[in-house]
Amino acid sequence: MEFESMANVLEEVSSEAVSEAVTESSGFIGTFFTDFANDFVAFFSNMGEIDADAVMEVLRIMGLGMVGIFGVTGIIILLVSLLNNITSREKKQKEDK
Amino acid sequence: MEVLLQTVMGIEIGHVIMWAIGGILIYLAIKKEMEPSLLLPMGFGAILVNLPFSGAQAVIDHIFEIGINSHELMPLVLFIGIGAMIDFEPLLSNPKLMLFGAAAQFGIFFTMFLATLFGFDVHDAASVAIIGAADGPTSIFVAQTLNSTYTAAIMVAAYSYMALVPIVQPPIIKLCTTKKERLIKMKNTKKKVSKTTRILFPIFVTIIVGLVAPDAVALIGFLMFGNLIRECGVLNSLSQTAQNVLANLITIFLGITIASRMTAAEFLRVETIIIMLLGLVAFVFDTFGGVMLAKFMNLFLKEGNKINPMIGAAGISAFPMASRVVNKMGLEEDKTNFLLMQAVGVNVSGQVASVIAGGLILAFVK
Repeated sequence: MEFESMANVLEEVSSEAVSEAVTESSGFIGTFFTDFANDFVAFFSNMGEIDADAVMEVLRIMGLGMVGIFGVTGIIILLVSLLNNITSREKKQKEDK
Repeated sequence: MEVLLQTVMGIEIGHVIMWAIGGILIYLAIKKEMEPSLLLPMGFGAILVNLPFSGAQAVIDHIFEIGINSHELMPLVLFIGIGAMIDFEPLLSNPKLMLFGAAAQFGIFFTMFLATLFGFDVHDAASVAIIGAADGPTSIFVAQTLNSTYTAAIMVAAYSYMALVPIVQPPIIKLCTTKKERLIKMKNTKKKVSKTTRILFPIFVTIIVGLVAPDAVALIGFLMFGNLIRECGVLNSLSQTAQNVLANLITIFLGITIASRMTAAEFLRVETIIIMLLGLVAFVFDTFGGVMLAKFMNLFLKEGNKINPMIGAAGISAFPMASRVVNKMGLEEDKTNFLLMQAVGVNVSGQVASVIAGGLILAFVK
């Protein structure tokens, strides 16, 4: 009975009448799973509506993000190398004296 | 009697499922010792807030409001403790290792793209993707700043996957590398790092990241402040307090406060499952990014100077689990192949890089 009801819910996303019938017939466990099934169908039916602009925007962010992260990292690497060079040279000079 | 019955009758299937989830988290914390300081409070908190008509909810909500929701206070203060714990010496003695930390953030941006295909809007996609930072405070900070509706699931996924690094990473590393590559021995090029460099590093990094991604300056600033306390050499007692007492105190409250968002109504949603899966994707592609950069660099390096590509996987910021995993895998292949030094260097660079990634995401998306 419950499986049949679940199937109905999955087929008719917007059919509130079916959901209500399932809710009444199957107690709190049924309510939980019916709500979950409704959410599931609703979520995946929204998935079909991919916003092409958003996808392009995210691709741009993806590119900029990776360039940005390597750029900042490069600057930090240069800075640390410079610091290491300067401080090791100072140390050498002190040792020579 | 009637009141008692009313409470018992108030139990819903969602509550029972959340008790089970809480139980699993407690089990993983105690029996498997996976991030016990966080998973245990989270697990107990999940049970606490899912009791019918729970009186604890209001108190925990209040802590959440003050500690996380208003100005992300707890994750930021925790970063002082984390900063005080991190020794950047392996990274400072071989700064090129930072490149792997950067490459291992690939999973974040790839997951953001994937989440958009799943229908999440850009803000939520960015918040979900930041699970790949493998860093709890950064995930909380970014998700809260972007007002994500999925903060609870993001927090749980971030901390759970950090604990699961020893399970998630090895198969991916093996899949991306050959046995020959895993056997590569690396020269131990440990150079002495001056105290001046150790002190100037946190200050300069804060300035650089602050200029590039001002939204992340709180994160990187608190992390580097903690590190400066450690390295300055004149605040040892503060450093010890930050590493131990402060970090532990915040962790206790953070864990149980995260649980306030783990009510059945908020947590048991289809999106939670999707977010958990996307979090896993982020970790997988972070690992992939780090390993692939090492393999790419090996194309140009002479024999004898080649990099063991496994160390790239340590660029995922989960510190210190990722470096331990890499070292263990190296020793499994060859008992004399110690990769810990290099892996720790990459691992701490991942810590910095994940914060930079979080800041860049905020700069682009906010």
